[in-house]
Amino acid sequence: MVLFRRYLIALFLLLPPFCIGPAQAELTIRITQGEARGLPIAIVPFGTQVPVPEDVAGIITADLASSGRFAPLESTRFPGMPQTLDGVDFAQWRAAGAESLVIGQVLGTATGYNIEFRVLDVVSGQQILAFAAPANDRNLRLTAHRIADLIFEKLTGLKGAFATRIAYVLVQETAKGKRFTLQLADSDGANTVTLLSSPEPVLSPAWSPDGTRIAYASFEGRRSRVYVQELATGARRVVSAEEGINGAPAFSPDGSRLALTLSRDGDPEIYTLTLATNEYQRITRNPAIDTEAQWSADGRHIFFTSDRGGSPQIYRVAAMGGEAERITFEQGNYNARPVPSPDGARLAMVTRVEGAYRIGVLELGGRRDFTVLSTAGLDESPTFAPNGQILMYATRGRGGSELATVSVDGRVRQRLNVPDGQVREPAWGPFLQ
Amino acid sequence: MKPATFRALALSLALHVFLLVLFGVGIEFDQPAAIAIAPTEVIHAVAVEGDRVAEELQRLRDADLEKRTAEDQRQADLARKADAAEQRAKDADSAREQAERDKLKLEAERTRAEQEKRQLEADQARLTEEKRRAEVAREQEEARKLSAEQALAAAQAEKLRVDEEKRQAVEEKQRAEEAQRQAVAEKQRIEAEKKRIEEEKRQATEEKKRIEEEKRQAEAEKKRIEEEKRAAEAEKKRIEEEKRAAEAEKKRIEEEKRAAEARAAAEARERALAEAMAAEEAERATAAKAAADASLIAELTARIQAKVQGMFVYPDLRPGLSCDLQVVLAPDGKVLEARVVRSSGDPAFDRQAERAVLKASPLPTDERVFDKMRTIRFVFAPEG
Repeated sequence: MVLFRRYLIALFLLLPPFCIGPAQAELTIRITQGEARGLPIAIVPFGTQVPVPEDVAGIITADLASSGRFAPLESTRFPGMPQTLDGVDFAQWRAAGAESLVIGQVLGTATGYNIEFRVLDVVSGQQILAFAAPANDRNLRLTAHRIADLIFEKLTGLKGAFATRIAYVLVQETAKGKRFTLQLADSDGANTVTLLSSPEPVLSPAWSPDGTRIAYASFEGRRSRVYVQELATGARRVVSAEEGINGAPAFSPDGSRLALTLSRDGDPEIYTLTLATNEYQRITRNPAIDTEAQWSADGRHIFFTSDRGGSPQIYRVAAMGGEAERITFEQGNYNARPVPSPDGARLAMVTRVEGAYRIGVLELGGRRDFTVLSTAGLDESPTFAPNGQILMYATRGRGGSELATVSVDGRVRQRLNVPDGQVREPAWGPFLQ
Repeated sequence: MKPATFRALALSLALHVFLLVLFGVGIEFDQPAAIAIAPTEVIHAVAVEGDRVAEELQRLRDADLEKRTAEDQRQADLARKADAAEQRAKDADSAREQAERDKLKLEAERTRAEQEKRQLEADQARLTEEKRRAEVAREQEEARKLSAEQALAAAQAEKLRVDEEKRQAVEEKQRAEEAQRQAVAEKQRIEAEKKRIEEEKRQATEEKKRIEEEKRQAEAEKKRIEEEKRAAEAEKKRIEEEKRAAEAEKKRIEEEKRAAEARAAAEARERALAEAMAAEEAERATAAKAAADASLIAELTARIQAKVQGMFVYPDLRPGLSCDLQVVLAPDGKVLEARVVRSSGDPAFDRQAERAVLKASPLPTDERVFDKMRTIRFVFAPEG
């Protein structure tokens, strides 16, 4: 009996690994760690049968890299330069460390080009995506950005925002003095188009939600006014020319109103302006400076900067007006220029860290994590890509002010190629309609 | 009552009446003989009526005499018989029994005598009346008689003397004859007695023989009975013995059966123990193998985890993302299939998990435990 008992106990003790184990039907392995880096992707230069003015593969590579979500392989590591499926040896690409492979050709057509491309899964040896996109010299870059968006969406599940545009203010020194221009460019800074040129300061460009208009403040005639300009036609009109300051416009999410800063009642306060009726509504009433208004994603609130607490901090007030609530407390004694992310989850701002002005991102929900994404000393004017994955801001570079991007995870920073001069106040436009 | 007996009874009654009368008349007579004398005188002297009385008296006297003689005779006989009985008692017990019988007879006789006495007493009452009546007559008679008697007395005395001498001579003669007769009778009696004794002796011998025979027979019977008893006891003993033997046999068989059962039980126990030990041994071996397998699987799991994590690339490893993959391995560890069975909601994450597993192929495995890792569930859940 003792033996039996021992036997039973032994059996019982052995139960967990051999009875409960099989009861789960299979071995389970948890993967809790990984490499938090961009996806290893290889974008092989597209084959060309005709001269092509742009490096399509290069544009795609830069786009994908800028998001931080991809880590394109250096072309020097490519085992080959296949342009069609026939030339692909998956094992070699796997060995090279690629997971995805983009190959393609730019074919000449009567009207321009036809860009054929494939996205291959090197790991599984399967084709993920295959597309043919017509293009011409004018939109070749944009087409390349669209292809990058397609790949981005396919491999990340997120909407791509490469085929978007940005507006920024360029200040250049000329023989006649400073020249202020409002520039329009592709998201990568290319394809610059000048919207406005003025000897007086041009400030605070803001995109209408549909991307057809831009509002900005201009000191033409040495008076500050707020203008709204049609991109398609270049036509513009003054929407606010009140006494004192008229500045810092921001379109409401539905595009019907502007939030702006006016000093018509003495000190700078936040107002809303209904564009259709030109009716103002004063939102803030405080002897301190209230400025830099931005609508929340849902349009119910307005974030703004105020020094009512002694130093610039970010506040939030109902879009209909009311008591303002301070948002920033523990992010230093200087927080300004609030910009909500498109999904409303985060708030980007300029924060002063150890005497340096940098771009910080505050999580609005949950733990209210605050991340400082930029590293320079005088970073300003953050703006979100419409998919919220990249922040663009103005920074001081070797040649003066320039534009930089940082992926929201802070992993990837890029400098944009912009014309010489001081680049200020970038504004990332919405998804193209 | 028979006439003879009645007569004897009547006579006896009369005699007693008479005796009573005599008692009543005078008690100066010492001997019966004197009584007898007067009636004799009366016989001679009475008239017609007196003659009848004398006759009667004579008759009575004769009867009395006869009776007395017979009585004497009987007494003598009895004495003799008693003597003989005494003599015989020495010879045989039966003689004593005879005496007893005689005694009984005497007792009966006495009883009868008493009965007679009682009868007499009854009669006496009756006779008292008669006596009273006779008293008157007698008193009258006595006066008359008294003179006659005195006259007669001398004559009578003389006559009595002659008669007495005559009577004595007769008696002498009678006595001699009687003696002779008695001697003959005695001789005859002795012979008869002798014969009887012999007979008795023979009978006694026979009786003895018979008794002995009976005794022998009784003993034989007794012996037979004892023999039978012994035999019965022997039989009983034998039966008991057999019973005992049967019981002993039964007990022995039961004992053997019990022993056999105990043996079988012990063997079964040993067998069970051996089986248990073998099972335990097998279980130990299995357990050891299982433990070895478990340890091997744990090691392989760690290696697989490291390899897959090294292959798992995702830009945004934020906690909360999680997906499950079902992975089928070939015996050499090659990933035959990696399928997302629970999505994270982020297709890119899911794909990267799938890619990580595929890139890690072949996964470390071992044929010894391959059955337990033919399919593996991977849970991709970044911890940040």
